[in-house]
Amino acid sequence: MSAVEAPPPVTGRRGLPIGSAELIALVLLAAALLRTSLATLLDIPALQNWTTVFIAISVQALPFLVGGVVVSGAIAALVPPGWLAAVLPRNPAVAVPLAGVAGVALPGCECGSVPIAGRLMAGGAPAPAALAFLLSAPAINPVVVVSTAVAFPGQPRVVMARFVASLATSIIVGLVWVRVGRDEWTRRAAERLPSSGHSRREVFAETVQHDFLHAGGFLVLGAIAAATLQTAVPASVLDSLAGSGIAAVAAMGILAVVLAVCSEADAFVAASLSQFSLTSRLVFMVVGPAVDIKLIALQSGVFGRIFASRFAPLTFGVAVATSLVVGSVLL
Amino acid sequence: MVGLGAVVGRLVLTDGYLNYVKPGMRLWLISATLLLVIVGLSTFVRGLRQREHHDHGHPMTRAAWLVIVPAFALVLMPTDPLGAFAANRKETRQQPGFITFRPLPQPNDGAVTLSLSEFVDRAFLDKERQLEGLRVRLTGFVTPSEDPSASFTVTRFAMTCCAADAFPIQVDVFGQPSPEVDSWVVLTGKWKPHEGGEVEPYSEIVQFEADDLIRIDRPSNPYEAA
Repeated sequence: MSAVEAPPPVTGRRGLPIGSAELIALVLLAAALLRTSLATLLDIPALQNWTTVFIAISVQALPFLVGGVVVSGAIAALVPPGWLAAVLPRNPAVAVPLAGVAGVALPGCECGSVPIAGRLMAGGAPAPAALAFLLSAPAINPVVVVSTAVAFPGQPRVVMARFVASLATSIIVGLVWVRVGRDEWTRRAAERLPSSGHSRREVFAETVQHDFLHAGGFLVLGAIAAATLQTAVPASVLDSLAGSGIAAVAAMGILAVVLAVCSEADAFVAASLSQFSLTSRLVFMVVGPAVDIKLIALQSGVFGRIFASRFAPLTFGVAVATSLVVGSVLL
Repeated sequence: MVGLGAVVGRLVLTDGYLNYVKPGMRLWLISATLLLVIVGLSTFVRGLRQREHHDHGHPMTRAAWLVIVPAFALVLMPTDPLGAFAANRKETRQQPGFITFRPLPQPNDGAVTLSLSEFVDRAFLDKERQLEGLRVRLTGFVTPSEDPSASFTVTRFAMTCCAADAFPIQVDVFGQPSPEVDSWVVLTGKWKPHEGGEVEPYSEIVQFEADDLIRIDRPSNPYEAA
């Protein structure tokens, strides 16, 4: 059992936020004081580069994560549990596509959609539909559509291809999940109890805090991994993969997973990689918001490791396949 | 939460955030910071008031402690943007094929100020070759040149999303001695077109003949828009 999955014992006095707040304040104070003396010690270019990349990802993602948990908190506070389960049609064949299309309504980075989907499940939405939503929301919301249009000016088919492929991915994965997904894999999210009947504001605040800390911790893990890969892996290794055909597609898929770029911006990254074909860049844009290091870490945290180890490969495979199909037709 | 909010807040207020993300993020970061601080404080205060029944009901994973890491990193490490180390590791990227140039800005002080990306794009893609013979001013930081005949390379990073995906724009500089690596300079001079006629865009490094070099402090926004 990993440290992540075993819940720490709930003790009245030692849990967050009381004793730990003082501890954290002390640590930060110590760091601030030590900074000048440690400065020369830490003056290694590689370490500084790592830190810059790490902080960049964290800071860039932060507003979107906050935005996501605010919506998640609002859902927890305002939507009575079970409402979603009641509203979505029973037939999964209908519920999943509906949930997928509903992703259009949620602007924001993929960091935010994970806690929201967790909340939806805790509130009673069926897992496959919530997962379809989790996949579609970061990829087909208006902000991403606009950014893709800006990144590929004069080429609306790229925007369309991205929209279609991402939506198809979310629906296909949702439907597959209906067949093979097991409830215990998402049990962890459902285990979160609704807060004990406090005012809406309290529910909101507690949810925001809880979800932010939970998801934020894993975002940091993902940012650490991405920064390490960017600083430690030689650029030539990544570049030599830019051959043609299958190698390029695989490279773009892997790159999307490794780079962990927010879905609002990955279109620009894809646009600039112009040595790659449009189809392989489509793979990059469809895989990125659905599965990357940061997301895998987030999903492990919110839904558990077993879930992530099944969901990530499934999503990756479906995303690549749909991109290839859509790409060959539209691009 | 409050700790992180405070550190990020400070980062925004001191413009340090420009080392990592785009200026446009400012408003988002401010609102996110405010939210974090407000919610963090209110839960903290509520926790103080309910000291007896401090029972969370739902377990908090230990990974939540990681949230402190960025705050820690920000406090401990000097806020530095990407520099020569990253420039060595990363390949530059080219513009998507279709591009229209805005009209050249008016010269000020005898030279037209251009960003490195615009300079490089015009060198490769401007059919009208408006750069020829034009006095241009460029700003960037110094990196060693791979071309032995050049003195040094002036570099600047362009970001699409944030510093994590920034890529270097580079121009080889001739005619001035190389200052210290990673120092910032403003160069004035002219584009040095490649001998041997047209080249495949972005296949080589654009060259610049500088007749003037001024050292400057690192600008608060070290990146260019991509």
